[in-house]
Amino acid sequence: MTADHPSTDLPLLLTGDLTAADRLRVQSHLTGCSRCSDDLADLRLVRQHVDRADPAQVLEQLARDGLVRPAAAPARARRWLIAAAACVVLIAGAGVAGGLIAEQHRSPQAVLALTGSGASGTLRLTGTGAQTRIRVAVSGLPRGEHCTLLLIKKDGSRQRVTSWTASYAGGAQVEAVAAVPLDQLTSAVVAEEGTDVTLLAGTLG
Amino acid sequence: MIAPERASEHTVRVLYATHGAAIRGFALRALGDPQLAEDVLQEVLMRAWSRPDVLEPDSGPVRGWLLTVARNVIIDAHRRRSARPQEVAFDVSFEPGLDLGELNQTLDSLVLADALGQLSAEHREVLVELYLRDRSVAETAAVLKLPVGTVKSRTFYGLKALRGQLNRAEVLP
Repeated sequence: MTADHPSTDLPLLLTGDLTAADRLRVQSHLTGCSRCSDDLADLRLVRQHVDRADPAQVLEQLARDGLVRPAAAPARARRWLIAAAACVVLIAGAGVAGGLIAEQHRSPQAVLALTGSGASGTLRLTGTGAQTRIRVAVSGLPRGEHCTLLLIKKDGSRQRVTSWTASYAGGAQVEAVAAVPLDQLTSAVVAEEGTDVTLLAGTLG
Repeated sequence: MIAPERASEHTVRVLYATHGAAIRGFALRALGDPQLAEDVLQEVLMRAWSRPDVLEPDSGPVRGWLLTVARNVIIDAHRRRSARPQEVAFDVSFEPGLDLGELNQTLDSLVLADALGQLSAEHREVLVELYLRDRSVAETAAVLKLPVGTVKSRTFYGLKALRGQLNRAEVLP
């Protein structure tokens, strides 16, 4: 923990290693702290890369480079993956998907389907008062495409929220927070960065 | 007419000495043929030679970039071979399929190893125990003989540093 921010608890929140009381404390803090929310989004991105890697291969390469002592290959089923799976089951059981459990119980939510030529995805929106927390998951984009997410408000204005580069496989999972209340949003567009050519679009039901 | 900028021969030799084995190993794992793996390595070095900007000391983890280039060369080579099967008919014993999922996982693994290699030993050892050896915070603290609070702190700052390295290797948004 640094000063008033539970920074060092954030990795444990991702792995499900916090006690119930600590988890509620951290989640409560996250609803009002953009710094920690941004940190958590950053940590998630790193963890997603780590999840995609093969621990045995990483250890093998590090050992070859003389950076770790050789050791037995790790078990495939990682402890924290089991914790994450348990989390998904809990969330699914509550009739919601994704996000932090505490947020699920008290925040308005919406899921928006994104469609485009050869690409598709979802946008999960969680209202947090004056802000909306966003989780984008898309696939089928051109590899390495520079993308930007635009939210369209009821008054017709557009708000640029975040940008990213599609992965080698044409996918992306991105989290961001928009300074727009959820009930002010009508639709969303994923566009090519720089040209704003629409790649994916969807409307709230 | 201005000649295109090229990396020096010395730089390419250093690249070969430093990263050649990793790139060759990556290609060999994907293609299963030592000669093709060597061809991939040569092509990657040729492309690096024409991109001196990415070889600057401050341009981030070079191996991640080289491996990403190698991945693209491997896929291109596989596509060419699939489109023109008659050209490889002299070697009917070699026609491996290319598992893109496995290729990407290998690339992610090697890029992650490279990024971890750029971290301080203190950050790296904690992340290795927690995420590669699948230990809990308490187990990591015991193995490394550190207080639990230190493990938690190094985990947070280690992941932040790792995010920076992966970002510089252009593998994270």
